[in-house]
Amino acid sequence: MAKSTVSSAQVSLVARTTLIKISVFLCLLIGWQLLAMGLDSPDFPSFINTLAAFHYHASQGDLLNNVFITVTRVGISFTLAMLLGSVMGILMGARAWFNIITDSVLIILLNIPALVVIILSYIWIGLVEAAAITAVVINKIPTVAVMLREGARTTDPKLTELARVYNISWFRYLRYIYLPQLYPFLLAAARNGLSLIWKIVLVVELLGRSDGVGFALHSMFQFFDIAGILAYTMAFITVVFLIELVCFKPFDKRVQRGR
Amino acid sequence: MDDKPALSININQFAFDHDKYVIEHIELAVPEQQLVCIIGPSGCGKSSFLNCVAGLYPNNNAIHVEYPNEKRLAYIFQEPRLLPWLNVYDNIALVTPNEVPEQIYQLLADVGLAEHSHCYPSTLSGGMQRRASIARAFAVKPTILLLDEPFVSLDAPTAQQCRDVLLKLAKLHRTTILFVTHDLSEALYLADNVLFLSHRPSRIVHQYQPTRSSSIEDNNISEMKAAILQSHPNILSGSTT
Repeated sequence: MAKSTVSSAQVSLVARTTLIKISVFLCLLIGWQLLAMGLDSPDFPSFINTLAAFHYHASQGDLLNNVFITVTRVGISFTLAMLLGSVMGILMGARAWFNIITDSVLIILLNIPALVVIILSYIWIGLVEAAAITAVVINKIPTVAVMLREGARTTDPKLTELARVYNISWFRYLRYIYLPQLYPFLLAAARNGLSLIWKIVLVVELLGRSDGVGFALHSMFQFFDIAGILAYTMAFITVVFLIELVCFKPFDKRVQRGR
Repeated sequence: MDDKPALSININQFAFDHDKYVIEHIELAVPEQQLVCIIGPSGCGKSSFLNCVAGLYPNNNAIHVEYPNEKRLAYIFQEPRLLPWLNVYDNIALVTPNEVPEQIYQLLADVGLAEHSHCYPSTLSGGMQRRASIARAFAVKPTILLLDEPFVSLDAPTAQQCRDVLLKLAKLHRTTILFVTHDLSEALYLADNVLFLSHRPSRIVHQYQPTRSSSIEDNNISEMKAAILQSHPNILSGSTT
């Protein structure tokens, strides 16, 4: 199959966009540094001091280990929440009877505060890893389900007719016709989901785990180690950017293809 | 041409759910390799008739269709229904997973899209999208092909180009065709047999077997059109009088 050619205009547009993004990022760092120098307060460390704290926690402390533990928790929770939420949402959008049965449950789950779910999980399951994961997954499933339900409702019945007329197998229908219609909704749910799961995992770790970024932040808060908190935040943001670059951007590009 | 029916259709009092009848009664036997045009006023149930034949209402007892032993059905809808996220080649390969690439490229060459196999539908003109949907239909080597006003939104030269591609491929693949249109000239140019439908609930009110014309602009078509309209002045509005 012939590959589509990338024009020089497209390359130049990508280069320009990247340059603008990097410039904004550098401006933020310079602004931070200047503001910290102006304030000269231990409660607002400069970028350079934060970088030094990052180096210290990464080489001497548990930063890498804690980030790894949190990322693992986020990864497991995210996968489970996306899988269960997607199946639930698609079924709700595609089958009216399933929507009637589950709609009230979904509204309840959407509106229970995350903290309540976390506390109840720890009380009912115990201060164990499973409780932490369960709490995060229960918090996230409803938002994924809502997005996928809307996606499933907007799928084009004309394309289903096409599949039926041409006798397209169920697997091929799912892969090439049905799921591509849901990809924009899946991507939105994944992006939104990851940002929410990060935050919930930290609260879960802060309340009931003895490791992970949430636990470390709690310890540093008790010692007013603001540079340490910002160093962990930097590590956190770096991981989020990496996930965006490695997972979401290529998927986004694929979703946008031809649309 | 063989007169053995390739397709026997008997639709009696077809309705959506418990609504009013859309089709009162249509009984039809289409000989192999014939191109039958169905013409009728807007909203008379032409598309519903094709959907019935395509099997899109599987649990409706009003529909009885007997297909040939080797049933390979293709349907070209009013809109091309190409998947925007697949390029032209993949749109065709989707309906025929076992087809060798050379045959798909040959079909693309037949419809004049050889250079556009890698293009996404959004980058193609309306005429090119139609031709891509024709190539997709013929990729399944159809014994029965259904077309629902496929060239309605195209300009005259592009529509003519698409019609000629259709006739060429139909002859090549020995396909039996049901073609819905509201354009009498198009019907007289393409068809071996033209069926005129009444208003809803529809039934066949007249049949006409045109003689072959070399182009849609042919005087022969104007003469046939004039003869039909003289004997049945209101036939295009679905009336027998």
